[in-house]
Amino acid sequence: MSTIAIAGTPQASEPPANVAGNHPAGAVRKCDTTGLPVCKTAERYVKLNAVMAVVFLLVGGVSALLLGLTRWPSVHLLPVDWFYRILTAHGLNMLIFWIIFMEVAILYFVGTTLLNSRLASKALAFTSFAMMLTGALLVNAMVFTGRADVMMTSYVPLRAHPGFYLGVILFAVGTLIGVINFFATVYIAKRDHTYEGSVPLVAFGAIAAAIIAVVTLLHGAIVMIPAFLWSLDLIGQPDAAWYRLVWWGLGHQSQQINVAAMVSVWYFLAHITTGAKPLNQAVCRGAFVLYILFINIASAHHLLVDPGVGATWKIWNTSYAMYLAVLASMIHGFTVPASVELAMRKKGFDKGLFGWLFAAPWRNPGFSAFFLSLVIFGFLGGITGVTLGTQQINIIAHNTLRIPGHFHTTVVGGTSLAFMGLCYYVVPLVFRREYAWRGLVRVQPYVFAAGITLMALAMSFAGSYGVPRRHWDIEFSGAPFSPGFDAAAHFMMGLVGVGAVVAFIGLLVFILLTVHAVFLGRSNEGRAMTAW
Amino acid sequence: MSEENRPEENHKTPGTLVLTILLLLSFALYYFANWKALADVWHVR
Amino acid sequence: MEERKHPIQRLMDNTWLLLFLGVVLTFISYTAWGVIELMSLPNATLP
Ligand code: HEM
Ligand SMILES: [Cu+2]
Repeated sequence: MSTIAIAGTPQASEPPANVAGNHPAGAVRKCDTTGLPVCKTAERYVKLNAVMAVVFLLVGGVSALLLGLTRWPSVHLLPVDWFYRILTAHGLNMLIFWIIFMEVAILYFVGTTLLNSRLASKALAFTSFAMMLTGALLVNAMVFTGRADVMMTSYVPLRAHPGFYLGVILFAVGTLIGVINFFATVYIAKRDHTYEGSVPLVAFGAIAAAIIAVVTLLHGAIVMIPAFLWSLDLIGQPDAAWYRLVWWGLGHQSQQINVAAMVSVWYFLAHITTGAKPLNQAVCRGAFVLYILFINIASAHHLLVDPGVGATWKIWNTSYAMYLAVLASMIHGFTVPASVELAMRKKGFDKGLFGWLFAAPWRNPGFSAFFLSLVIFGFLGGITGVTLGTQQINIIAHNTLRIPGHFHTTVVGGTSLAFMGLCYYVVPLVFRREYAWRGLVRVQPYVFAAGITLMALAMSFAGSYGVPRRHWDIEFSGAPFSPGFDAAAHFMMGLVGVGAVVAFIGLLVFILLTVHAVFLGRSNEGRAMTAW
Repeated sequence: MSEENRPEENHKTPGTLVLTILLLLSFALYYFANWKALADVWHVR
Repeated sequence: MEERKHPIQRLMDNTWLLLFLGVVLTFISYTAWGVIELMSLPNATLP
């Protein structure tokens, strides 16, 4: 009988079969906590990418506070030009730089430690990092000097300084090189038989993320290179509808890298914080395959009110086929908590329906960040996302604050929070430094989750009253007419501001604690990390 | 076939099942409310 | 052992085939079809 058997699949914590791996002498160390092999080259680039991720998170975070305080009607902090400038900076530093630097770090870690392999190429890792950093700095230089007030989407005919497009291209190509380095590592690991059977589930999820990244970055190249040439007056203006179509092949799909990476991080954190093991390997992997095959076409939901593309294209790409990817998310959304439930019940926390949940390690910031991320992403992000992506419903939500309300529950309350939880293990295990002020660390995930949830819900409600996104002044001061937003809408915008302040505090605590731990934290070299 | 792939009686996860049903119910409610909101502003005569 | 693998399991173990399918399906269903839709639009008659 042929069954979907994944014989001998090593679990993340079990040392792989070929213990020596393919590491050159002296290029590997054994983790003092988990016993897993750590490639020293990969380790250096995990550190570099993770540090840059946190730096850009800070830039994006300060921008976030300024935006929140501007959209809070009774504060209305920034002048109009700076609002759009900071909005541009926030979108790019958060969505692109923070997230993608983290993801490259994750790929290097997974490709080497979980596959027991050396990193394929030091030169590629360096080139990738140098290009990404140069690109990110160039983009920020252009944005903050007011030469790229085009928001992160840079829709033509809005036009930025060529340096802006060049920076985005450098960053994208740098990322692509990092992804290629990851695939090369997967290739040599298999060639050198550093692991037995199939790759571990977390590595499989990372491969899914990397595949989606390739699709994403190809679209990025197709759209940004003409925009760059146009900004140099070398070619005419690209067609606006074409630009939107291809741009969202970049913009939306990068979110799907996040989803795949975040789900892998969930499995990883569930495993190290509660000992959870995937219920059924084949089902979990099948769900990742559905992501690879079907999640990208959902980019079409950004064009649901565009006149150029027809209803068949819209409905096929945002529903029939895309629901297969939603199915995949529902599978993960079930198997991840179920694996935690099973692990907890096995440990004897077997009382009633939710005894396992109450007994879970809520004081461990790795666990709380992971589980809050799961709940926020699943309940708020998933429900709003499927609804907003429905063609007919989109017409009452498009370009309102309901959209930022939705994606701050996915990419912030979901992905970013999961990545913060990951850092609470990366810093002790990879940097080998301990966090100080551990009580503060324990509350950080709750503060951030509460703030972002409040802000996102308030945005959603305000959006339901028609409040637009990307709007500096919903009072239309000085205009001969009154927009007449409901008083409730104004109240909700106040809550947006309050939520933003709380989320910012959570974010700042994360950054300060992490930077302190990385540079000044107590070293734990030679012994296991202090358990959370 | 690795250990955790074997269907066993201790694979029961009733708590997660309840959470999942809760999720689907909230989704149904939200989805319906949105179609209702759409119908309220989009009159078909 | 190798021969008894389920076809789906073989697909899941084949990183390069998955990469190929992931790229091609998206480009056909979203990108190429979308561009064809845009190109088959008649030009606007406005000035
Ligand atoms: C402290 C946390 C955060 C706060 C308070 C915050 C707040 C805001 C606010 C107020 C806006 C403007 C909405 C509008 O007027 O249209 C915004 C936009 C946005 N945020 Fe955040 N945000 C936070 C974190 C993040 C993170 C971590 C990401 C990505 C990983 C992110 C991605 C975005 C994006 C993509 C936009 C849209 C930009 C645009 O319209 O061009 N945010 N955020
Ligand atoms: Cu999208």
